Amino acid sequence: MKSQESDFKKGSVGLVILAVLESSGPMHGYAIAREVERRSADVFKLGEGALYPALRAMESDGLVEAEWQMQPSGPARRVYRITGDGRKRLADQVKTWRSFTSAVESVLAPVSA
Amino acid sequence: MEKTISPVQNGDDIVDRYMLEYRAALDRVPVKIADEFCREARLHIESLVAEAVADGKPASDAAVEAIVQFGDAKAMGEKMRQEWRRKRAFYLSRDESLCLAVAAILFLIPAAISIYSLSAAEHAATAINRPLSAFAPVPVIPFVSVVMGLVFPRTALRNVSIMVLAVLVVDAWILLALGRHLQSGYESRFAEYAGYEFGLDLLFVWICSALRLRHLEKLANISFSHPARSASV
Repeated sequence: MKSQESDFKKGSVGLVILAVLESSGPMHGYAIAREVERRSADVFKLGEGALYPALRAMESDGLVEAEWQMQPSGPARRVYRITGDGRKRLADQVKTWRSFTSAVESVLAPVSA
Repeated sequence: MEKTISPVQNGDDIVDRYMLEYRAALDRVPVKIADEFCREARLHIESLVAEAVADGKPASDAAVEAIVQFGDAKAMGEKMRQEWRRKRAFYLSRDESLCLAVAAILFLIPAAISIYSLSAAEHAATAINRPLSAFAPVPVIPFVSVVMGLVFPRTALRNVSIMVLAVLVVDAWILLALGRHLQSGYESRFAEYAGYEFGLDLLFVWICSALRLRHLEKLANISFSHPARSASV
């Protein structure tokens, strides 16, 4: 069961990060991880081991861009913001995700959990 | 060489040691980029520690918890390095660039000798085209490296041994060419060229081994067991 959950999470890390950056605006890595936890009521814990490689991959793919920015309190942080390509990718992924979950829901509907 | 961390160790020390291991795993990433990765990771870990301390946890426990959450330093460094290199198939690290430069010099010296020998009038009649054929294997080194880099992108270009392998391929080629040349009965400086070639290749292989050894020693000196595991004992 754990591994299934882990697979779902792995497949959706990029989607979740893009969604947070799109709706909450530019953020640094730590804030992204906390925001994902907060929105999912701690169900989706975005491990840092997955977060930073995913951010780096998305940056290489031009889906996000990053720059070091001074923070109102504390040292400068690397802040990530979604790009135009990132928004397009997010829209595609959301569409795919919704059609997929809706299809799975339809299959599961007769099953009583 | 296993070192352990005492459970009462200061939180900053634990984070420092974790960062040292993370930095070591990023050793083939350019310094500026690796520093940036480390700075970002450190800020994240410090935020996790601050959060846990604010919740009333002791600093050392908070540090251990934070780095456990961050994940194994070597694995994390490896992932970040792979991501950084994903779109840079032909990137060469400092050691690899050095090896390539040494290889180029080692091949240029016998090439220069061979060209010089060609220019001598007494060899012009017999040696023409023969020594030049010896240059054919030279492009094999970057070629083999690039092909291996494409076939094994995760290991080939970061591994100095690929350069050694390329040199061995070239040597085998030269050996074959030398055998054919000697059978042909022509007199030329080819055998002399091949002699220089083998000598310099041996030197090159030795330099590669020394570099590799130094790298492994460096890793061994800073390697230690995972702080979380040690601290929980």
